[in-house]
Amino acid sequence: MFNILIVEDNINNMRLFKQILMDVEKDMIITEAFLGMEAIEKSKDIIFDLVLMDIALPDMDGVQTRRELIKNSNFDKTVFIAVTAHASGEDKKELEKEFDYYLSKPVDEEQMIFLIDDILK
Amino acid sequence: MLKIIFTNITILLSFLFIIGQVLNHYPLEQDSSVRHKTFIGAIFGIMGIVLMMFTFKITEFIVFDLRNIAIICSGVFGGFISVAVSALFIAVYRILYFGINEASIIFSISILIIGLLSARISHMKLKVSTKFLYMFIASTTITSIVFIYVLDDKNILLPTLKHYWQVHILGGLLAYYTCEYIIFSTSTFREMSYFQIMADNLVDMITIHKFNGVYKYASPSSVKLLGNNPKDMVGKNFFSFIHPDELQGILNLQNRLDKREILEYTENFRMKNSKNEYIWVESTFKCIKDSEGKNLEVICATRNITERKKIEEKLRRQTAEAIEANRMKSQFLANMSHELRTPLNSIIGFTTRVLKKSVDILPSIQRENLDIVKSEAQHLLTLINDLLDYSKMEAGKMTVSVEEFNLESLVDEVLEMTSSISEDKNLMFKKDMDKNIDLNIVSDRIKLKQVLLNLLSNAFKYSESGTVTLKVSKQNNYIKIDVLDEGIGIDESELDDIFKEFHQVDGSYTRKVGGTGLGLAITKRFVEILKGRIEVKSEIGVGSTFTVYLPTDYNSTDESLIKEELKLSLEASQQAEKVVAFIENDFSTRRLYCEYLRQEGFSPISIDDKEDFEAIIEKIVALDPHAIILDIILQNKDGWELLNQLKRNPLTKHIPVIISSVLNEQKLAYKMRADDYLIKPVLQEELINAISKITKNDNKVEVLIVDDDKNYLKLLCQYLNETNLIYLTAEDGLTAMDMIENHSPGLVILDLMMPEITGFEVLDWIRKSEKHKDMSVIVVSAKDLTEQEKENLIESANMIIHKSGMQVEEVIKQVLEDKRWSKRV
Repeated sequence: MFNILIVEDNINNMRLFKQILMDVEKDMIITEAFLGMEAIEKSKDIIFDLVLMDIALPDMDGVQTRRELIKNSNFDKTVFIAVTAHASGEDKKELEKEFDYYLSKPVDEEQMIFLIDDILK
Repeated sequence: MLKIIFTNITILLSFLFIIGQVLNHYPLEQDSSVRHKTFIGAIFGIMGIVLMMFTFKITEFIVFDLRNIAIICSGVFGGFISVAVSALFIAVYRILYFGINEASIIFSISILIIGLLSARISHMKLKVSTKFLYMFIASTTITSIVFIYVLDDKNILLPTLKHYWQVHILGGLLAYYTCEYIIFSTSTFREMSYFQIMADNLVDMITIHKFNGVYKYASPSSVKLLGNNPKDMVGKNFFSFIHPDELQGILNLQNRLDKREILEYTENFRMKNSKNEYIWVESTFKCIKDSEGKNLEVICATRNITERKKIEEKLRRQTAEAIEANRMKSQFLANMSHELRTPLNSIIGFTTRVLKKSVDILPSIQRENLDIVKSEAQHLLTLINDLLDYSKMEAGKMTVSVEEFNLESLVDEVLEMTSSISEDKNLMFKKDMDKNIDLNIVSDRIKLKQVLLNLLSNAFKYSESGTVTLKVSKQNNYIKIDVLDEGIGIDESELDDIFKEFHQVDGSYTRKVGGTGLGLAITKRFVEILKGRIEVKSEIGVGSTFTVYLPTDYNSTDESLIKEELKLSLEASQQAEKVVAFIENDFSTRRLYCEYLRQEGFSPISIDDKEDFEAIIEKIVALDPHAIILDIILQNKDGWELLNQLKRNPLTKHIPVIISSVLNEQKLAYKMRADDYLIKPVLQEELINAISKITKNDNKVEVLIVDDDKNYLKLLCQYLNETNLIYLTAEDGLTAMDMIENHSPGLVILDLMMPEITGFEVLDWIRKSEKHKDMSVIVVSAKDLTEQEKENLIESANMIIHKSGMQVEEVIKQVLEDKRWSKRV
């Protein structure tokens, strides 16, 4: 059983990611967070295997949220994927320094499934 | 005898010393107080008494001594009061010594008269030269000595001095030194008065204040600067004038001045004026010693900089605004991109999901509909990407991040990405990599990827069948990448335009294939940013080949590029069709022009600007080029001079010269008979237009458009481009008149409202000139004409068109229909 956290402020994108995750043939519990703070709140008692992190969040950005999250030792082994519409080459370079993986929006469904499937092996 | 000499010398020296000290402490000033004058009078009075000790009696009534010198000095330096005091001293001495008698009174009165005269003279501001004073002293001294020898002993009044003529010499010397000291003081005094005049008349306010801030002096400019009387300033505290915000800074600086960490400083701050308003001033502070040489004082020159501050403030605000606007623009672009991508994520994502999950349930027509939604969304995405790239390039924000990478792996990545396009088509792909070359190159990976992606996806998009080939080889220091397709091909006439922004080959395909029309423009710009170049060959129905030349090492020296350039120009000269010579200082511009011209079928020949004028002209004569492109700033040379020589030389003057420069000097250029003027950076289009414009029909210009509104000019030019008319444009009256003189156009389209020389004046000039008076002139103006003006214009202009609504078509129609002038051409 895998615990997955999706941090995404756009409700439609959230719905889409959830649906895509369902295609990954693994048992998983998905936790939703629409804000950075919400993500921090919800991660207090759960050890997540994977976090899909949007970057442009209304309260604090994804990079900052991640930095807050990893202060908690629950996240020592967690894999972080940045999923963002900041898609320029420079953005990618910057984000790849912080995150384990980077996916640009609009996401390619196949690519996303493949990647997550690979991570959760 | 020695004892007496010694006594006298001691007396004289100490006396001299006392006078010196006194004068030192009481510098001579213009408005000395009564006390001061009395003091000076006393000094010279005492001096007179001493000098009287060396008195000689020539006869019973003629007495000679040096007291006159003392009294004169007293008058010159002290004035009437001093004279009175000195005279009193001398009179008292005399009376004490000889008692009151006739002679004493006469002496006293005569001495008073001499003194008053001298005081009067000093008031008349007569200048006594130093030489004169010396002569005077010397002659009196010599006379005294002579008298001692010549006169009988009994004639000498003071028995103490009877035998000691040496002492008398010392007396002369005393007078001499005193005078010298006085001369010194007066010259200092004169200099001081100059300084005073300067301080009084400077616009800057000069002040001296102590370290505690109390003013000791303020120059009269304080009235102008602060509205305060200088006398009122003295005694007030400098620090009380400073704006509280800046006070601490000034105090800190002054402390550093005190500690001698700095010797002077200049600071801008606000000072309170008499109306209690703060004005901006700039002050320079400097430490000086006061007259005693002990305490430090601060001398300070202050000027009003309120106006300057206002301008500075305005500039600062404007710069800040511009920076902010630019930042906002970048931010806006980044935000827009983000905001557009987020909903696209949902659209593409959900469409994909529906297509994937419900493919069996959906009726085929609905599935197709969804396919369309998906592909359109994907199209939208590329548009957004292109626009973002393009706006970045426009803003000059493209940065090159150079790294070493393997070209083959990059190619594979690109292929992966384009595979979706080729999937549904009956297309083959062939990768032809030269195995013998090193495929590790140093360049910007992301940009090159974009270039390859654009070229390959184009090749796939525009082909229905056949093979797309990607070929990589090496030429000198360049990697050559060919992308060949067997698609629809591009018409030859279209080849020139495909790299231009917003251009797409054939409207029908645009709809079929899609795109912003920015793809190839971006590709070309990227290749150029990477110091490479891109070429295209194509044949309708056969296919197209795009070739990219890219330096293997982005950081490599220009040497290899120079070789390349040489090769290019050599190739070009072999073709030798329409030779265009260019003389250009900048290496990269040379290269650029070379390319521009080559692409347009000209043979560009670069002439080395290091050669001297004669050699250059010789070369030009030999080449006899179609046109010359000339830079103004050349290696140690002046392009203007070269232009002048070219236009004077009978062998070269017929060759059109296009100036291309960073300078904005059109007027001068046209005056010097240049045929066109391009301001760098020059676009290919501009360059080619300029060449074709001036070389068509032996320079016979048919139309001249004069308008200061650049946009209107552009609009008219676009319409004129569709006709076969040769035209020139001018943005102001003066240029227009130059052009009319040089080119005699058949028709002038003239705007009325222009800065400096208006259309009315130009029209007037045309009608009055012998050579051009029959020229057709169409007046186009937005001005609401008065009845008088209308009448005048109807008489002198051939036609008047109102500009309202920019009826360009109408203007052009008139130009074309007006047969009157076209016959003349």
